[in-house]
Amino acid sequence: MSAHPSIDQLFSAASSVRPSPEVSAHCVSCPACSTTYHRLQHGARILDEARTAPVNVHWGALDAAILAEAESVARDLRGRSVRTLRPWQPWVASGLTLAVAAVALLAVRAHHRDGLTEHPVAHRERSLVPEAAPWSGAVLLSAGGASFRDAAGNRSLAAVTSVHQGATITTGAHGRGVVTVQPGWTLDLRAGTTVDLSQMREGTVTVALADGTVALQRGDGAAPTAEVSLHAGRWTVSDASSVTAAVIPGMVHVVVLGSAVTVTRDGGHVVRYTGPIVLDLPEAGAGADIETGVAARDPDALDATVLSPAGRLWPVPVTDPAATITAVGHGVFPSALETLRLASPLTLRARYPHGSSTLEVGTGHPTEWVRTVPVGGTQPTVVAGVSPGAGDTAPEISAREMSAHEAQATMRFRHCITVCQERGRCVGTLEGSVELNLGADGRVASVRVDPSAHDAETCIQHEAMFLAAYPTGLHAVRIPLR
Amino acid sequence: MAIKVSMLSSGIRTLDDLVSTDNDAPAYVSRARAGDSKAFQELYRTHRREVARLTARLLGPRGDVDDVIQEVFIQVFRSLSGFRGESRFTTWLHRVTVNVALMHIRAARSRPQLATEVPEDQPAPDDSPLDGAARNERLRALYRILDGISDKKRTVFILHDIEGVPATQVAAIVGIPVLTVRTRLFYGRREVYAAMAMDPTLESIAIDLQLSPAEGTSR
Repeated sequence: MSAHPSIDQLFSAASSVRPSPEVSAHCVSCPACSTTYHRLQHGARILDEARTAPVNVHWGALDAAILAEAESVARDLRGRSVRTLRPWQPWVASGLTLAVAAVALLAVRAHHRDGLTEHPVAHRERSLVPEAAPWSGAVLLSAGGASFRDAAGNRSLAAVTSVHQGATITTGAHGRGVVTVQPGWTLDLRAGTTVDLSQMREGTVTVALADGTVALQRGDGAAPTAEVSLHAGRWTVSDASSVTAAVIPGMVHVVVLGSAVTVTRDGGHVVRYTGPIVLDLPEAGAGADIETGVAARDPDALDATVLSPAGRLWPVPVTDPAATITAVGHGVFPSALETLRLASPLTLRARYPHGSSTLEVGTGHPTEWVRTVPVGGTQPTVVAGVSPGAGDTAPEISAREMSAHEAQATMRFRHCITVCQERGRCVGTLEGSVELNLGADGRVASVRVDPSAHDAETCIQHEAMFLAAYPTGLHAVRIPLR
Repeated sequence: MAIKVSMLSSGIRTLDDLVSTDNDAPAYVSRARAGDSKAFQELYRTHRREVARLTARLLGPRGDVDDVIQEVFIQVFRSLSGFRGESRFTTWLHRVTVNVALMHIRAARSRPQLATEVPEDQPAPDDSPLDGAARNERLRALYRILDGISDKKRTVFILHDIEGVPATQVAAIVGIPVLTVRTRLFYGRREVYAAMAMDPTLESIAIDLQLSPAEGTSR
């Protein structure tokens, strides 16, 4: 062999009990190939050894842990199989219902044909679509003085557990309230806000903002049927998945997230925008046009709008006493910031400088911090989860409890990611987080998954439904994906 | 091929040998899905050793084998309801094992580690402490080389050339066509052999390993 053998040939010879004579002959005359050959020979021996290397496992402890887990999963599956309907059961139920309806219809027709109707009654026109029954919303959070007024009078929001259409909710200068207004929809009232729950039926909800700031947010899977009525009905904003509206002198400042929004003026003129977008809706003047602010997809412009000290400083973190009950140190933002964070690919951060009660909001690299006004003069407690004051509806949750909940969620979601990767999806780098919005019962009402884990979303949504209930009114929890 | 000959002669139980145990798996799987804890236990007892071996091969002398085995079985138990039986249970089990081990390796890489930090040597019961330490030293050298190639090639190389899994099964476990397995194997081997050829320490740490008479004559 005159030419140098390839590395494969050398390895093949080095790992063989009978190396080819050509390779051996070449190595005798080629010092470089000889060196390579001998290194490969030792490498091949180590590879051989690796194939038979003993596996050291502490089976005692491992068996106990895994068998306990097996028992737990089996118990869970047994419980689930009791709760879950068999696939044919809904069909049988539907069939029976249809059969009963058909028999009843035939009976009524026969009754009419036989002329047995002796007492004709006045026929009353009815809508073909029956009006949905009023929906009762749950109070998720009441803090810092929020009141509720309905036909029964004026009460503290903390004193009621549910709200109905026709009621008015008012929050004080440092108050805050969060209620569900539809399945999957939450209405977050910030300080100094008055909202009429004009209509609250399943499938339809209209809230009229008289003063202050509200955030109306739709959870995943909820119907897009909510609208916000502004300036005494002059404007309505509908079809959006998330609307934050703040009344400021002369106009209402609206931030819309989601793909589209419909804005109606005076019940007639309809404009459809592609969101996310910031809109300023003027209070008066028939000809006054909507001022379309920066598109929220332009992060720099959005940040400028939100954070500029000279401009309209976003009122929510400024006046939001709930910042004191928000786990800033735990990565959970005040919900308004959360709304903005979702709209911006930039990272919005919040912090309390040591010894200060002033919330600071920052963005960019390096982070530029903007101070908001002091939060109710109260030194915030940076805790994991909610630590509400007296009279609040949300019970306390300790850092340890929160940590346990997060560990549980992380384990379940990690499983989803693993399965997703195992099936050849979820191939990219995972980023961001899974955001859980909690319902009144502390269970997950809706889930938002970072697009990087899109392929595991169905699994994560499913797993989230089986998380233990959070003993808190905290309505957003973030589980990092990495 | 020489590698295969030496592996078979060493009497290792390859994944092909597991077909017999896999035959019972569907029954256990369906019972486990219904919440039968005995079926879970049976699945674990039947497959724990092969999962341990595969995990150890994938991780190398990193340690943490116990953690990964536990994680594998937790994942398997929890996602058993999603196993549709389109592949053999063992194939699916090994796929989960590979994925969990890879995640573990990636996580370990991203953790800051002191340069001098060396995993604790755990000699096998039959080993003298010196033998165990020397073997671990050699394995660490090998896995240092393997860590130098991409995860995809590394996985295929370990499954095929160290664990002895046939290419068709590697394809099923990793979820890629057989041709891709062969391509990755081809390039993976080249990179491993090239790294071995560049590593002057192999000779000194492998000096204790017996060379066959034929090998000794080639120098």
